[in-house]
Amino acid sequence: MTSNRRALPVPRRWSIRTREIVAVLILNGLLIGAMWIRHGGLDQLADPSGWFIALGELVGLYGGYLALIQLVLMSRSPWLEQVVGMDSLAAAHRWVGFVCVWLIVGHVLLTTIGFAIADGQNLVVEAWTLLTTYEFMLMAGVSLVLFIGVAVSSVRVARRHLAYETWHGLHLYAYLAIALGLGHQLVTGSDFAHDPLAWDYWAGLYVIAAGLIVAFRFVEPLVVSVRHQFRVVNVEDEGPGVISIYLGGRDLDQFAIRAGQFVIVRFLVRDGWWRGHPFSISAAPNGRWLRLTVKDLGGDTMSMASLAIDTRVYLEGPYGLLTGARRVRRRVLLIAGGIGIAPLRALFEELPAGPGDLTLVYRASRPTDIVFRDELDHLARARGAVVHYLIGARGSRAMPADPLTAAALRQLVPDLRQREVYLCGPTPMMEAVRDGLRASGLPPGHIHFERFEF
Amino acid sequence: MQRAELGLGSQLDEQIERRLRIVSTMGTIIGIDLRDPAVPSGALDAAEAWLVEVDARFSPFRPTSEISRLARGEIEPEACAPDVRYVLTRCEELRVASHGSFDIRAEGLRGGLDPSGYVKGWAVEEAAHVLEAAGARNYVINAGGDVLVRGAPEAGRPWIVGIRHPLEPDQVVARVALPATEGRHALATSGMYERVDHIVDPQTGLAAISWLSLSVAGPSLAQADAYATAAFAMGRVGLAWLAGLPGYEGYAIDPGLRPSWTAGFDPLLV
Amino acid sequence: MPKRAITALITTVIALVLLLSFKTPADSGAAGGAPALVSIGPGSSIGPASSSGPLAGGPGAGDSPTPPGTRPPGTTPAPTKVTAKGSGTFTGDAVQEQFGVIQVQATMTGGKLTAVTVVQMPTRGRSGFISADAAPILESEAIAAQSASIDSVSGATYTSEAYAQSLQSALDHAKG
Repeated sequence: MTSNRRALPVPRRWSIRTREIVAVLILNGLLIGAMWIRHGGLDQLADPSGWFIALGELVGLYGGYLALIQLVLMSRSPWLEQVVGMDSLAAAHRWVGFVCVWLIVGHVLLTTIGFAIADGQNLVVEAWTLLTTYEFMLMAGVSLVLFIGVAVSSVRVARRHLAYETWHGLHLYAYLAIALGLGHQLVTGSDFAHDPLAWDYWAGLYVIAAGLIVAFRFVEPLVVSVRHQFRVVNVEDEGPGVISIYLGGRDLDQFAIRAGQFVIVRFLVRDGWWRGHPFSISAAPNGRWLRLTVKDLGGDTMSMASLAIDTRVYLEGPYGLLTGARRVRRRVLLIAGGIGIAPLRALFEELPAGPGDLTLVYRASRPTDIVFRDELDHLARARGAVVHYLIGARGSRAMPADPLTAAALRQLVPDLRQREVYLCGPTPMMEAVRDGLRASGLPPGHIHFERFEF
Repeated sequence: MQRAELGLGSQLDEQIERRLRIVSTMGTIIGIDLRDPAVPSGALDAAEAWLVEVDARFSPFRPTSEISRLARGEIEPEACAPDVRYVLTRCEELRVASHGSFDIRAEGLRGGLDPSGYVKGWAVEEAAHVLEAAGARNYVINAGGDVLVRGAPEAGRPWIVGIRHPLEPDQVVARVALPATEGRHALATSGMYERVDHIVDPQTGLAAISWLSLSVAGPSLAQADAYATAAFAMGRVGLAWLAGLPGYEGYAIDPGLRPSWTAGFDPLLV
Repeated sequence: MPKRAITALITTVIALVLLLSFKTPADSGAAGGAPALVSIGPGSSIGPASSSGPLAGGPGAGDSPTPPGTRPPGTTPAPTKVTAKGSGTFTGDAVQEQFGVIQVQATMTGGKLTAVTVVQMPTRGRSGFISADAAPILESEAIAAQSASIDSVSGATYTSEAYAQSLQSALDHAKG
């Protein structure tokens, strides 16, 4: 099956590590603090209003810095995405986002209070004066409101009540908020208005962040999609509620992607072209087509089954860390739950492994939930790999106990603790498996797990 | 917001000697531009010292000034210095003449007693007196936008004072010639140049907004200053009221940026 | 695209246009260029009040004017001859303000003050915030009176004491 395949390009590997990226960000943050001190930030502490103003400046600087970091986190830069992982980036983005907005709110309050004390004015009048008599301050005020709106709409309670697209649309206003805040930073910000070097540096940070977003979120996918002209070439039923979409195009043997990765696709149909779907490829790349296998979750996935052949597709990616690039150990265990079989099916085909080195555990509630059975069995025979199908609703007679506990897994795979483990499936199930494996002594560095909720 | 106000001579010609003295006091900048080379600089020092002293004794914003102490009831009017009593008397006369529009005692004014509408002009006139006692006959004093001139900037033409555009800080909308060879001539302007809450119509207690700016020309800066303040507060009828005052002429700009002026102001416009 | 998204987009664009067209007083007083004598339209003069008291109005500015006293803007008188002496750039004293030092420089050309440049201004705190905005205005106002042969300007403004002190000392230096 694998012998006469031409060498296909794969996404490049990055040798930097997450901690190095964090170190750079922290160092830059210290540099900003040092700049503030050098500009006389601490000298203001002689005066009571100066305490508020000084703290307001610091908090504003870091709020602005975090906002830029937010942009970088979501830029889909490959050196970030392939090192940290989309799901960790999304989690960091969420956490940094709330801190950032708190800092910005703090900055506005502290600065207004400090100025009000210095001017001998009451807060409301001072705030009004600031907004209406200084360059770019009204824009900064609008920026604050937008930031608060974005933060409020992202709180869990709010997200439960908002459709994903509504939430996403509101979230895009964060771009506007950042752009509107820049003017007041550069023109009236005490650290930048009078120091050309600091001005250049700060503007440079913005340029870098904006550049990354433009390059990797817009230009690169556009170039890739235009070059490869992705189209739907086939749609197949894999079983109840599961379909496979085959994407063809031009020069697909030049498209670098690994098994285990996913792409974000937009089907360019009249209704729904703006929706991006993160779908994993469910077969190893072969240079001719990509197969995306999706579960019918209702809503827009229902319309997937009726996708017309030759529908054009806009594709972003590939993304994802669940690949052979992470594999260090010779022996591999893949554990799939439900539709999580999709990326693991691709890995099952592509991962280099000798007989007995590759095992797949496939968990499903009902027999009809199992997809690719023929393919998996065929691959297993051809590669000397093993597939265990664990079918049955938990707690039923067929499956009285949880079959995915570490102990149960060790029964199936005795050398469990020496394997490289890849997990994919519903998050709670997979988190439980991961925790069990860690507890049983498997080093966390050899457990690879990707969440799909971002 | 802070901006500088400078009344500078237009030509610093080698043949014309001028001395510029800038005094910051009374919450404003007072610029003295003296064109008489023979007058000793000590006169400028004395004028400066006088202006600073006025601030100390008359400012409603200084708790130790006589005016503030008077307002708090710590001293009786009779116990005040003679010039304080003089100022208070003049202010009372102006209150009557302006039908209450100029009133240093009105509610809503900070400090309770605020004669600054009169004091600034009066202080400048006294300073001019100090200069003239030392022989000065050609000078312009600009106190935060209120201008007092005597003589001429150079042979052959009078002092020319611009009236600032109420909304565009670096533009002037009118040029006023102030002939002053026989005696002093003054031009005082009240307006929306500053925060509105400064000028309050005592009769209504509300900010006066019928004019964007109102200028008064006449022989005494103190009178012109007070009249400008009163007429501005009067609103629409302020200019008509000014027309009825002998010796003083007015020029006003309404919120639509249309100017009106009294007939007597006409010959001054160049 | 859902209608809501298009509505949101249009609303955002309109709001942005409005926001960007907001002008602070600082914008109105943009520095640069020779400030001009501005004609603000036909004015009117009113006659002396009649004896019926101050409430007798003339044709006030609110009426459509048929002005007897319309005054077109005057012509600029020819400038007096100036000499080359008195040219150069003179730096004033550095004056200490609450949050820093302010120092200005006066540029004289042919004996006339043609430019004022702020050499140092407070950069921190409230003063710094103001000075970032005010510098262009302070500079332009200093020469506002220089064109059109105006000796002084009436119409109060805000003041910056330290600024004026420094400028005065620069002018003193200019006189040598």
